[in-house]
Amino acid sequence: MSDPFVTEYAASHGLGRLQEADPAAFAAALAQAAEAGAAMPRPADKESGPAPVFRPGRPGGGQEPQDASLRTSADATPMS
Amino acid sequence: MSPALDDIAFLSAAEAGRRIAAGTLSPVALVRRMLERIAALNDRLQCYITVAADLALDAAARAEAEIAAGQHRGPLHGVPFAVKDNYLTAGIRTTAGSRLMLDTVPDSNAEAVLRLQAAGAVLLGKLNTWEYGTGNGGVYFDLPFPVARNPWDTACFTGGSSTGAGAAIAAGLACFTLGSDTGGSIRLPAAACGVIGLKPTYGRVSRAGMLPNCWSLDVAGPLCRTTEDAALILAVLAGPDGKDEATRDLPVPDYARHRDAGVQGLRVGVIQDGGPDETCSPAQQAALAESVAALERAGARLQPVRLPDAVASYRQAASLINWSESFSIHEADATQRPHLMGRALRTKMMAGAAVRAADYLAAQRQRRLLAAGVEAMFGTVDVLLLPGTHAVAPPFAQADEVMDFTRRSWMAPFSLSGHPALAFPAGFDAAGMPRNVQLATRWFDESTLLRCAAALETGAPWPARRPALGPEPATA
Repeated sequence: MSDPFVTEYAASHGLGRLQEADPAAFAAALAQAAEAGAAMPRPADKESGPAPVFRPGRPGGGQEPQDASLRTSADATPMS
Repeated sequence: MSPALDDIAFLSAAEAGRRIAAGTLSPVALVRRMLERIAALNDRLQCYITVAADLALDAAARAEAEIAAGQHRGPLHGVPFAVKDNYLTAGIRTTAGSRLMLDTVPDSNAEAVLRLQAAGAVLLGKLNTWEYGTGNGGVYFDLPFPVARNPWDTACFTGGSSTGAGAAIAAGLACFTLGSDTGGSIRLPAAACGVIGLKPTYGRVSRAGMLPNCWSLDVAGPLCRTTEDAALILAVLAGPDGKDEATRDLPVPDYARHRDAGVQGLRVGVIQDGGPDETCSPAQQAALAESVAALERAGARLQPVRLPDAVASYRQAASLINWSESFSIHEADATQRPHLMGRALRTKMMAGAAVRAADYLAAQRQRRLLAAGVEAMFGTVDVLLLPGTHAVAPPFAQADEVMDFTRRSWMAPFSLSGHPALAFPAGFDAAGMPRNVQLATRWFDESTLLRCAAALETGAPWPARRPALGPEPATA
C-alpha cells in the first residue's frame, strides 16, 4: 500500500505516472535522494560555488535545442 | 575452442591499418570477416543492435580504392569500428537501447563518428547499451534488445553501460569501438571484458551528437585492444569542437610517440585503500600487486598514496549530480511515458525527481573540492594506479553482485574530477575471467596515461588469450 505522503508528493510534483509504475521503488528512491542530499557537505562560506557559467554568444549558451528527442551532451553548459 | 591466433578479426586497429597501408590486407576482406563473425556470434553475444553491413562494405570499397590511388588518410584508413547506440549516425537507426527511440534515424553524425570517418575508418554498426547509457546498476532483462553477454563467459555480466562496446572488442567483432563514460561506462565494460577503456579528460573529446546522460559528467572515448590503438584513436578524436562548448582548444600531442617513452623515473602513486568497506577481491588485489611489480621492473618509482576522501564520497556527489541532470534530460518521458522505460532507467528517474536543487548544488560545490584534492595528488606523483573494480565480472544470476560491480567500482573519483582515466586488463582469475586495474593522470595528460599503460602492456601483450566461443556456426 502506498504511503499517502509519497502519493501526495508525486501528485503535486507531476510524478503520478512515475510513482504508479512502481510505488515501492518510488518511495525508496525518495528516501535515497533525501539521504544522499542530507549527507552532502555544505561549504562554510557563501562565496564558493559551482558557478555555472552562462556564455552569451557561445554555442549552446543556454539555448534549448529545438528537437528535444535529439538533445545531445553538448547542448548544455557544463556545471564545473 | 579458441579462435585461430592469426584470425584477422583479432588484429589491433594499428596492425590492421599497417597491413592495409602496405597493401597486404584488403579493407573489404577485413570488413567481410567482421561481418561473418557478427553473423555467427551476435545471437549469442548481443553486442550489436544494428549492423550496417551494406554501408560498411561500400565504405571499405571506397577506402580500398582511395588507398590504391595513393590517397592514404592515415593509420585508421580502412579499419572497421563500431559505436555505442547513443551516438547519432546518419541514415543508421539510433535507439539508445530504448523503446522511446526505436524508430529514430538521424540525418547527421556525431562529431566523433565524423572525425573517425574522415580519418578513413569504416563504421560497422551500432552497439548494445544500457538504456540511454545509464541506469541504477541493475540488469533486469526488460529492454527492447537482449542483454549483451561477456565473451569470456556468456553467463556473466559485461559491465555497463557500454555493454556491446566492451564485448565486441573481446570477441573480435570490431577493431575498436566508441563508448561513453559518465560514472565508469567506458571503463567498467573494459574491465569486465578484458580490454582497454579510455575515458579522456572532460573536454578533450567532443560529445556533440552523443545522446546525453549527464551533461557535466559525460565523456566520449574508445575501447580497444592495445595502447597503440588508444593513442591513434584519441589523436583523431581529440581537439576543440564549436558544437561542444566543454571542449578545450589545447594542443593535441602525438600520443603514439609519447607512448613509447617508457616509465623510467615516473612517479606512480598506488591506491590500495579506498576507504571503509572498500575491500577488493583476492583476484583484484593480486592484479594490483602484479601491476605494481611490473611497473617497478620497468623503472617507475612507486609509492603508496591515498585519495583525500573515501571513494564513497566521490560516488555520493557523482550520484546526486547524475540523477538530477539525467532527470532533467528525460523529464518529459519519465513523467508521461515511464512505462516505456526499463526498470533501471525508471528507478534512476525517480531518484532524480526527488533531489532538491540545494542538494544538487551542494554536490557541485563539493565536486570542486574533491576534484581539487585529486589534482593536488599530482603534485607528488605523475600517475595513480588503483583497482578499477572491486571484483571481476559476476554471473547475471547473482543480481546483487551485478549491481555491486558498478556501485562498488573505483571509477567515481575521476568521473567527478574530470581527470583522464584508463581501465587496463590485468590477467585472469582462476575461473578465467579478466581482472583489471585503473590508471589516472593530470587533466589533459593522456600521453602519460598511455605511456604508463604501455609499460604494463609490454609484459602482457594483447592477445595472449582469447575467449573460447566455440566454432562459428555456418551462416548463409
